[in-house]
Amino acid sequence: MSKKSNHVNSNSADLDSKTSVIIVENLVKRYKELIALDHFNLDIKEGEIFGLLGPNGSGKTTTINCILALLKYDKGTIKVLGKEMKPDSYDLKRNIGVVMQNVAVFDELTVYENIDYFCGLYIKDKSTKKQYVEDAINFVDLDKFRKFYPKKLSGGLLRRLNIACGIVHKPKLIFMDEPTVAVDPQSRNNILEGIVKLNEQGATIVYTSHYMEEVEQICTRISIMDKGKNITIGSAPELKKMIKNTETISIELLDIPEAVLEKIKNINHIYKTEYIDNTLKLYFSGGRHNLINVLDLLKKEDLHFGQVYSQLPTLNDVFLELTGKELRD
Amino acid sequence: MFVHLYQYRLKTIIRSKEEFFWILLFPILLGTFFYVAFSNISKSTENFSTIPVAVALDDEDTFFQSYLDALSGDASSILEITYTDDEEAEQLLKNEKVTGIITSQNGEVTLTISQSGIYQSILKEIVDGYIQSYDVIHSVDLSDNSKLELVLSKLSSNQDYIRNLDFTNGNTDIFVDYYYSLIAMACLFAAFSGQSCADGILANLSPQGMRKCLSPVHRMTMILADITASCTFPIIANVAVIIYLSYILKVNLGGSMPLIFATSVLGTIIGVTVGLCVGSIYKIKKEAKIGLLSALSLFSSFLSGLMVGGIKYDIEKHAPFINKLNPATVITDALYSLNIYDTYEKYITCMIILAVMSVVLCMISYFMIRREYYADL
Ligand SMILES: Nc1ncnc2c1ncn2[C@@H]1O[C@H](COP(=O)(O)OP(=O)(O)OP(=O)(O)O)[C@@H](O)[C@H]1O
Ligand SMILES: [Mg+2]
Repeated sequence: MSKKSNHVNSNSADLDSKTSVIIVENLVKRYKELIALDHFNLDIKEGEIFGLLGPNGSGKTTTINCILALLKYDKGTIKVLGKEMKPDSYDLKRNIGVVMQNVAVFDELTVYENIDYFCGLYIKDKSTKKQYVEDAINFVDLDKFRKFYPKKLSGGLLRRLNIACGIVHKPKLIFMDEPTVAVDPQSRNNILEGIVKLNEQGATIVYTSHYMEEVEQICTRISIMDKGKNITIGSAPELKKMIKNTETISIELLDIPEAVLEKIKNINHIYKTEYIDNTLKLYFSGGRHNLINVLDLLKKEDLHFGQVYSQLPTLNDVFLELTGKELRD
Repeated sequence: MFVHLYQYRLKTIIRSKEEFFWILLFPILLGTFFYVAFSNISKSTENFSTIPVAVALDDEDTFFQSYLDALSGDASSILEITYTDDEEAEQLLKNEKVTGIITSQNGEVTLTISQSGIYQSILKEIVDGYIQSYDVIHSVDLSDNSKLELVLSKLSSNQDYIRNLDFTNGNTDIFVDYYYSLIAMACLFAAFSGQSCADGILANLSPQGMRKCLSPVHRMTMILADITASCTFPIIANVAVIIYLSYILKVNLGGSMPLIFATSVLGTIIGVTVGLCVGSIYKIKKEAKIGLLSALSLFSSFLSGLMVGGIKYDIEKHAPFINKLNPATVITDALYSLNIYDTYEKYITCMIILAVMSVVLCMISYFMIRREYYADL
């Protein structure tokens, strides 16, 4: 967890001095009538764990597939490691690793064979290849399962195999498209730790997810996407500073008289109140002792209340405020 | 790199239960089934002697009569002719006293048969040979002496050709046709291997294909290695099927083994490329492709006589071009001509048709597979 704070604290201020690994300018991609990417821009620097955060269908996978020159796009320029990326840019591809949203392994090959197969596409030298395969197996902790066929692996183990196949050749630049979808929390944490480890070993990582907690936990910078557009870019603390909300207090109340509600609305720093499903929600912008102020008032009015809790803003709040809808559906 | 790709692709096919079953086990099972079924109903296989045939002629057609005389009567006789009228001829055919009826009316020669089989096709060969020569004669200006000579020499070589048919070494068992169709079916089932090959190569068909597209391996190397491996297994499997039929079940396929193998190799390549073409269509789901391919292969084999013997002779009568375009029929024709003819003319024609088919299909599948950019994923 100490690693986490390391990352999150790194500031976007001194970014200009770093080399860009990926530059995307004015990217437009249409699927027939649907505009999947609408003048999308990105500048990802060396050594980052860059998060693409957005709800389902916001264009994260499309962005990655365009950068990788798999998809034809309608407009814009894309540069990877300083060069234009094309389907036959084999020298660039050598340095890139991809972990797909869908598990991409062969059911007829064992764990070991799958990793060896994909490693062999990049590494010619036999002994290096062998070493790399061993490293990858240890990295995802699949040593006990090396003779297993993918069908026999649990969802979490399968995801780990998928990751191993994508990173076995020790690439400089790694794309990970929702590698933790449908994975239990335990495996998810393993995977996230692994990603941070890869980054510490020197890889730049592009990470997409619609789980804000994950992105917040590991990413140095985050681009929030919606409908193919870039809504904002920054580190998690920076993003949270962009919005009005600093704290939300929720109180379980069976009933609340109008008069009391009016008094509550007059508490300092409150800018919005909501009473839904026996829960009173109070939104604050700034202020240090909001919770104490609220509780004092409730006691004075002799109101019986259930649970009370206070939440700091999340990326979901950022998303909500910027787009007017929830990140999660 | 080629070896690495080839080895793993081969491993994948061999370990794939579906491919292993359809390409290797199913033809062996069906062959065994045929063997059991036919040995129960098989009449004693007589050796070829002469073909009994009823002939009803116009009085005028002396030219045709002399043609028939040349084929019967002397020592190397092919036909045993009963001259009769239409009605009696039909009676004879019905009672299976004769193999077919040849009639000639106003210069138009027709053959009537009630079953199909090797004797029937020899009769057909004889009648066709006559009709062709006859047409040649009538289309040529006979006042031109040099042309007349040419026609005459053609006509006599045609007769030699028929006389040279080797009837003794071949397998005249009518059931052998079913085994030919079975071999054709086994060839076409290689389409399953082609389909899975396309699936694993194209980024818009499978995540595995996508990952392969993202690797630094040259696209050409990847395609060649995967296709070679996708052909290797079915080729070996089909050779094994033929060996099983002829050495274990002791079915006499007639004709030289290496040439039978060669036919099956070409047929298998056609199967694989059909699979590649269908397999690389983006709009169709994988399950639908497999269904489509099995339907195509079975229908093609059906038209060649897998379920209903002799169906191809009926097709020949009404829509002969289908027989030339249907790979299963061309494969069975090739095997059949190896069995009954001593000369390789017909066999070579069949092999050329197969070769052209596979080159065309290879080109189509290459263009479908080599693409690198996708509009959709
Ligand atoms: N092949 C396609 N044809 C048509 N529309 C597509 C295609 N692929 C994606 N889309 C559309 O493009 C938009 C962006 O899709 P994309 O897969 O990039 O989103 P995403 O952010 O990766 O979503 P998810 O979180 O579900 O993975 C969506 O509206 C999707 O419906
Ligand atoms: Mg996606």
